[in-house]
Amino acid sequence: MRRLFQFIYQYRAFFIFLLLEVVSGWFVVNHNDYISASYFNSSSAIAGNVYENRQAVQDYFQLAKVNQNLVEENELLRNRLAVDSLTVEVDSTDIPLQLSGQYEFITGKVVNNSVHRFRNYFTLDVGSKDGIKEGMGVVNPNGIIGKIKSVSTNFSTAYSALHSSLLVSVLIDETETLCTAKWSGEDPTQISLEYVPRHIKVQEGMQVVSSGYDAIFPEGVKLGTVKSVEIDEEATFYDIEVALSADFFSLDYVYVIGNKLKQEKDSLEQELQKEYEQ
Amino acid sequence: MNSSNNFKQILIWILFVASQILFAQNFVLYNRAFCFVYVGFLLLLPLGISRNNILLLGFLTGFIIDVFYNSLGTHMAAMTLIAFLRPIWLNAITPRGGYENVESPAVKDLSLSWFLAYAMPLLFLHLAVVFFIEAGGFHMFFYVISKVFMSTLLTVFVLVILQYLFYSKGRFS
Repeated sequence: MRRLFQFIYQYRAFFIFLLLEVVSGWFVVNHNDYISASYFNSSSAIAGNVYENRQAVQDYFQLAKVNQNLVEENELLRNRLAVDSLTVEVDSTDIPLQLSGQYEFITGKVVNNSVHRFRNYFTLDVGSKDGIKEGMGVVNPNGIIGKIKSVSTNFSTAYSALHSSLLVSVLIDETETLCTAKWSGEDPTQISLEYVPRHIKVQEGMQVVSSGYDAIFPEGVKLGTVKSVEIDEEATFYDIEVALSADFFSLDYVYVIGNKLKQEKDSLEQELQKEYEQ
Repeated sequence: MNSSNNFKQILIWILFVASQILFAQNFVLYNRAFCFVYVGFLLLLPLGISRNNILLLGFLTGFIIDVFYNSLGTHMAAMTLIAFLRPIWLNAITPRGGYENVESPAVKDLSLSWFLAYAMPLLFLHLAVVFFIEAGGFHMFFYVISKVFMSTLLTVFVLVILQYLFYSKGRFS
């Protein structure tokens, strides 16, 4: 027994090394892909504050661009309003989905962002006190941005759409084909579409929008336009690349989308799933 | 080590970690070359430090960086690995005349070519661990290796420049 302790003491550096590597490995496996409340990421109070202060300095250099974006969005919304007021009939009992109050939008500012890694995240300056919850979708005027990963009181961390394990349920607008968007990890301006069967006639320039089936994003939020379409002789599915409509290099203000009916939808579907499995 | 020396090291640690989080994090060239300048702290630690201390320091530094990078575990694993290998590697490439009168393995105490031979393999290993864990496997092997290679060159370049600016003889020691 004494010799064992002597042995461990003699090679203590190696055993400390092993211990620390096991701890790190455990963190890598158990932490990164879970949506869980966690203190050890950029939504923690300290990291969030550091990033917020850094952003406060950078803000001054982006003012002109942010202003331009806001003006453009205003114009878009005003135009839409002008069209909608003509089409919505007063005596109609059918309320459009967007007006029924199912979705609520919370404005947030991106204080930290990355695009060049395999798993990209960004940090927002809004947290649980503003009503942010885990799993909410994040969009900006140009399209889909990501999904909230973890929340603290004042900050939240979100998966960017440029994250190799974030899947978004989308439709090809013209053909109504349901498929999945997933980032391949290389080019931050484009994303891949998976599970588009070969009998669909896909062309370049087609619009890709969210399907609304995952209850994270409302139906019809833009993701991008089809950039290239390829298919192998024997493959079942297309290889499709989509040019992202949102510019991930310069994110400023975003909207976090809460779906009030998500729980209802999920519980209903789970029941069905259980019945199906029996 | 006396206490003023410890204080100096803490200051250097804060400078390295802060510059990584505030500046170097967004410094990416051609979507390939990343700057992980904070590793320089571990590479430039004095020679007198014990093996246990350097392991714990590497682990702690990696942890702080991971919190800010949202990649818990990744930098911890890489930093612990090179903290473990550093003494072994230092032994293996002992310069002619040994480490007499050498305070830390930096350009000012030894030579530029010696520093490159010392720092580049360790940096390469560190970045390889970080990028392969991040990619989640070897399925993009050549893309990842090219990233690792470019990032090693960029980081070592920045480290050498920093040393000529701040670690020059007589100013910092």
